[in-house]
Amino acid sequence: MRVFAALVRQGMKVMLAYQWENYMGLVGNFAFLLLFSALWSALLRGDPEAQARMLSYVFIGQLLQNWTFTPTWELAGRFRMGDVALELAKPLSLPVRVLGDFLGRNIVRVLRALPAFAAVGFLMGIRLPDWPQFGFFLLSAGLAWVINASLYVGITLISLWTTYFDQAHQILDFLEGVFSGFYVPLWYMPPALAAIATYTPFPGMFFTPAAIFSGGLQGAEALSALAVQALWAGGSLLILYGIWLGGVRKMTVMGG
Amino acid sequence: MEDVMITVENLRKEFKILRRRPGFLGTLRSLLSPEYEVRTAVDGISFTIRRGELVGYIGPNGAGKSTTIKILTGIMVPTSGRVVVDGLVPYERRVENARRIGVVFGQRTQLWWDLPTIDSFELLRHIYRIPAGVYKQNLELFTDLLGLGEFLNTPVRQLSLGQRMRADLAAALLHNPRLVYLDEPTIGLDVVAKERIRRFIKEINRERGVTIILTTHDMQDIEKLCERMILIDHGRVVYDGPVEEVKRRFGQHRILVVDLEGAPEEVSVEGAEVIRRENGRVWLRFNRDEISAAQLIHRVGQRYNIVDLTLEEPEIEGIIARIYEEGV
Amino acid sequence: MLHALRCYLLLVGAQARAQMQYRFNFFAQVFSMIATYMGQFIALSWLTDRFGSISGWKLEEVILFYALAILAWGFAVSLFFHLVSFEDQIREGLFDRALVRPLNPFVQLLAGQSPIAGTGQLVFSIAAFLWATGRAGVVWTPLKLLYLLGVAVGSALILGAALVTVSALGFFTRRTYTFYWSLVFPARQLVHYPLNIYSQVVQWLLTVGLPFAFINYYPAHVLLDRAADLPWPLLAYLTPLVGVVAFAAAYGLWCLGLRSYVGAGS
Ligand SMILES: Nc1ncnc2c1ncn2[C@@H]1O[C@H](COP(=O)(O)OP(=O)(O)OP(=O)(O)O)[C@@H](O)[C@H]1O
Ligand SMILES: [Mg+2]
Repeated sequence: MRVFAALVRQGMKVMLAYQWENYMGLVGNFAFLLLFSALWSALLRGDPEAQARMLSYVFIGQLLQNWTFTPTWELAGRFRMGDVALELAKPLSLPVRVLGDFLGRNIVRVLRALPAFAAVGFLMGIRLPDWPQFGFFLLSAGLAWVINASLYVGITLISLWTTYFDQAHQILDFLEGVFSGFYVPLWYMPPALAAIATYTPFPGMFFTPAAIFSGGLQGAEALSALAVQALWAGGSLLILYGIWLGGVRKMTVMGG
Repeated sequence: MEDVMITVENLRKEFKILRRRPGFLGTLRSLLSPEYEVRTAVDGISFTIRRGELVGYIGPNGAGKSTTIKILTGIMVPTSGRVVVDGLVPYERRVENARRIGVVFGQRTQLWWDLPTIDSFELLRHIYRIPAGVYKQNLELFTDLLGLGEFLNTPVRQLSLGQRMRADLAAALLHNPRLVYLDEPTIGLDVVAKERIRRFIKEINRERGVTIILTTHDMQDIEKLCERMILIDHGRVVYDGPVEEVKRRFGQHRILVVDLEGAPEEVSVEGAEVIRRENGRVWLRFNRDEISAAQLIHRVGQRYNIVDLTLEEPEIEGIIARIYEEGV
Repeated sequence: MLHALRCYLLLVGAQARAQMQYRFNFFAQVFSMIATYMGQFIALSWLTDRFGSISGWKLEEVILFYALAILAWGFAVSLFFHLVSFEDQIREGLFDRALVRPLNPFVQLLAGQSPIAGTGQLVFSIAAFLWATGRAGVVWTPLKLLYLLGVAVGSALILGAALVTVSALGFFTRRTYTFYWSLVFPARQLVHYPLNIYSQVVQWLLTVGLPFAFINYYPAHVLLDRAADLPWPLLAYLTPLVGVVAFAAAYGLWCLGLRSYVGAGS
């Protein structure tokens, strides 16, 4: 645990070294916020309650983008350069190091984004959830981080086995795009699909925390969503670990 | 003056490096009131180079060689000073200047990485608008002199470093430039490859009268190729003149190596400095203006029993190394 | 001018030959495009299923906006996408090579990629476009085909101008990826939806500032025979002109950037 904390601190330092480039990312966030808020305002005209909820949903969604940002292409780049053997030689296993690094960077990203988001949220009149609900949100956001980071790092590690990991990555992107609620929250999906999606890991990557924040998931509903999310967080870690072990075996036995 | 190729007067180049401040407020402040650190890479350099000269432009890492070459090729505008190359100010008339010069940056190739070598030459033929006759003649000549034949159809990325450098040299000369800049053309090459490249450079300079500016860290390149060298350090010229003269000017020190009988505990001789000891063998450095070799041998002989001795002449390599380390 | 064009074609041909040496995975590219756009198509169809239309536009019509944007992007990617990675060229000193050759460095930069790199995108774009115009019930006339040609060229130039601007900013800041991902990419997404969902200010910005509205929103009105609905129908016919002006402006900025790059030193 102490080692992991050191990794996180290292990631934070790396992130702090970059300067204005990071604030550029906020421009992109607010462009998407503009897009989604305009879209939902248009679609939900005449239902102020739903409108307010969706505004809150897309608002927190963009902040979550900073939190679950996983630049796995850096990792893939290092693999392409042939540094895999080097990675295997290090004492601490690669997934642990990568997760620590990502967590550190994501913490800095969010802290950095907070003032601007607070200002924009105030201007948009975003409602904050009350305390217990906010606690649920924080918990859910934490679990969302675990699912995102594990699945994406796992998918990248598939490159240890096959050259088709790009495609695997795209399939994950696709499924996440459709079922995580990034474009359309589960409320507005066709009900049958939404019922299925509930039990996949994808809503846990985005929808669950955003819905809890916006008040769309409350009480028992929120608790059951959190339970599914927690199960998937564990599952994703297992998936990551499995892919890593398999990859290491393949690398060491077959020589890459 | 018709026979002057390059005039450089009081050339200066300062790099401004933005000093970054940490944190969000720091970034904001850096945006509003940027604070710069100035690094002077070239600090008032002047020289002239005549047509047909082959000049070694040398100095330690970071001395400002590449920066000077970038200014001369028109890639960079100097902070102040005057530069005229073949009647043009290169950074004002970059394209026109580019037509007349050839450049080899030894550290990276000018060729198209994924294409057969010959394809790069073909592309350059069109870019430089080389007449068909000239192109054919040059290609044949260079293929012959540099032995390009064996790899003309091999993609550049598959060439060995020596082959690539030869191809790069040919590419830089296809359009009959009057002036060629070679920035470390022998970097990383083995002895044989270096020798081949040196012969070619010499040949081109002598037969075609091409003016050549050569930067290198290999003093053999300089000794074998150049009559004149310009030595710079910290962006200033510390020596400009014949290569031989350097030895006379800075090479007053010679070394006497003696094997002494019985390996005495302590060795000291007036007029010389012990710079190294290995059992009975002692290296003595002395200044030939103060004491002659014969005198020194005599003095050593008076105090110790000499078994054997050799006298080491100053090597340019060593001289330059000492100038780098200790200054002029 | 002629020399520059000749050299451009020769250099692009050389790039094509170079890229042929690597196993060019056409299908991987098409797959990637399908994966990228299919998610958005699906999301869009859910929305229109549920809400009927978006600010008065039916699903088929919104899909036409998409398709026009994708078509333009297909062309732009084929010709200009490598400009996004210009920062690598600057950092590794590769751009300096262009400066010691007697050919406009802009031409040399543009010629740094061959269209075959984007063939997958382009084929996908055209297929998607044909499918979408079929669904939207676009009635084709020779005049409309000619119009489409103008729109395609103009749109590719508008997107090209954006990418040239990204590379020009690279001269000043030594960064290019960040400008693409945080400015151009989101702006492209904005015009995937009908412009009239946005406030007047945003509509103006996408018309005058970053004129992506000319890529799909205005032209779609003509293809759907609804140009009369526009506050100013002429807007629908300006795409080629806007493309040329935007590209010229971007080139101007690029030249300024080059001046600053050569002045500051690389
Ligand atoms: N773009 C730049 N920005 C800031 N400083 C620079 C830049 N280019 C060069 N310098 C600095 O200018 C000085 C001279 O560099 P230059 O590359 O000319 O040295 P050099 O003599 O070619 O050295 P070497 O033998 O290592 O090639 C160095 O201190 C270097 O750090
Ligand atoms: Mg150098």
